[in-house]
Amino acid sequence: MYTSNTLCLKKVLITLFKKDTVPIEHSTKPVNGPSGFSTLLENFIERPLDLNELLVAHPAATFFVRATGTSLEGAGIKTNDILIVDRSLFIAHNKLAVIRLQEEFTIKRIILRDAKMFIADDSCIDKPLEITQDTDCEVWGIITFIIHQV
Amino acid sequence: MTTKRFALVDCNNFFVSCERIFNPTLLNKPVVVLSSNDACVIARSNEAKKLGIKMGEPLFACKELIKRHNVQILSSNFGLYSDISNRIMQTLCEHATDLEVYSIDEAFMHLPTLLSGVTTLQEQQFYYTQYAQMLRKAVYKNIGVPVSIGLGPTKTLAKVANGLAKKHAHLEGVFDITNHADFDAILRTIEIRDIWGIGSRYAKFLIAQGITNAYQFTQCDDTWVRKNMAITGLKTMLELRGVSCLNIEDHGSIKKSIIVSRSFGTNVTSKLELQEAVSYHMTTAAEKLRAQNSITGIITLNTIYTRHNDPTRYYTSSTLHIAMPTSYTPTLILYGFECLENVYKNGLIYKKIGVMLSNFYTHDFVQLTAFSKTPDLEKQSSAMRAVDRINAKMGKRRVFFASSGIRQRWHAKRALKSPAYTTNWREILTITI
Repeated sequence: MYTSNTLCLKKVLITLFKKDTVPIEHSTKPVNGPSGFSTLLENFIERPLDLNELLVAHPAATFFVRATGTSLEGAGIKTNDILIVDRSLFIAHNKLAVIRLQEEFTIKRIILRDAKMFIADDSCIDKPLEITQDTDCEVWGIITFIIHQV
Repeated sequence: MTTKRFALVDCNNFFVSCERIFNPTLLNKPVVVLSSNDACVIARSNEAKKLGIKMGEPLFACKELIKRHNVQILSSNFGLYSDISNRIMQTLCEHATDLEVYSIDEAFMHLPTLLSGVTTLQEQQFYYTQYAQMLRKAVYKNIGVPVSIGLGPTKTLAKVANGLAKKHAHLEGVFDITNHADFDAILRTIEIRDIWGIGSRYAKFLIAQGITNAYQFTQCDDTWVRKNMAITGLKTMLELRGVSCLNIEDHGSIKKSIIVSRSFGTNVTSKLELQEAVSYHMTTAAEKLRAQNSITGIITLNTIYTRHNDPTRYYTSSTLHIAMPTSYTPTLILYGFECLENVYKNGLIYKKIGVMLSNFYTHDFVQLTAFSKTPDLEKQSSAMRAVDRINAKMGKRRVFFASSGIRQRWHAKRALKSPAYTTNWREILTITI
């Protein structure tokens, strides 16, 4: 269970963990800026599009997980979908997360309300489970993308 | 003037911790991980240590204990451990001004020097400890592996501090021994046997002289130590006193693995140049390997690089688990090239490249299956003996072996191996929702 201590680290971590690359629009218009900026754009345009750059912001902290079951179809997770999970992200309201509850993994939506934390799926959206200091619960990672095969 | 800090970052019960990331049923329980062929114990959780299971103990010897206390057993999953190690080193590299990967679960690094304005020793200690705590929490959050961090003015003292951080729970995984108020008293609690850089032979010698702890060792006469323990012994003693003799990339005499790595003098971008460096370093490493009569089962290639217009230093590595452990240079070079294929990307600027050989066996260990073709091992070893003899006589050598290499697919018994959670799409963690 991550307490507010972890939230204080956020500022430090953001400056220290530089993002590898940030996808920018592929523009065909000529760029008239300081030479440094247009050089950067040139380098980026030369490389072919790479899904890793788009989907994996923090490779060292990113893991892939497969979901089976239907309890989060409302959230957009269908059975057999692959989820991209980023452990470096912090918990926030409405985020989908891989969560360890006692000795099992599950996937739930995080609800932060009235200074309390709850987790819910489609079936218990009206009566979510409250997570307290005593709950044997740990947020394993935040889901950033859902990969669904059509 | 702030004393420059070395940090030794070391994972707690590394193999077990890797398994626990993906299997919560292993938490807070006694767990052991077995060596190749499920022969002996190569990793234990703290709970398993408490039961008295020893490191390296053959499985049959502790089978009774395991059954009685319901100890969880796992076969080794080196593909997973290498991948997790890579992630940890990547994370550390983003924070370090210099990083040396010492083994699969340990790294030395320099922490960034504090800004001026922090003057008192207590303040320095506080801020460095806080920084190390932040690092420790970042590794645990991002990857799920608990680490301990020791800080000191020398590598040897950082190792001492790391050991203490691990031992005493109230330190919360971090200890800074630099300019510590009770420095002498602390060194008195460190036994000679436990000092990094002092092997069992020298330990016996010192104990016979009445030198039983680290403090007593630091009080020895320099010339006497130099005479009886060679330059490495002297360096270890000076380091314990706080005088830095070993830099990042300098190794003591005791090696858990063999590492040869060098920073490049210029920026390197071509694969050909990298191949030359790999071949060169691998040859050196293989020589050291043969000198200690070992053969290796794992090779790791690691590199630090930057990108255009981006001064950040990035780390990446590739690890190959060798089916048939070897010390034959041509084979090792080819494996090194294979790793390089995984690591090399056009357009990156390479700053440093290193090879690491680990998971050693003794020279007469050979495991074959019924299906594999055996290479002519006798011919190989006599060839290498001849090469080593020539090299010893001629001194310097730059020999590139143009051999085709022999590769074997060999499946060791690994009955209880966990899935390849991070390296095989078919084996990623599946969660039922």
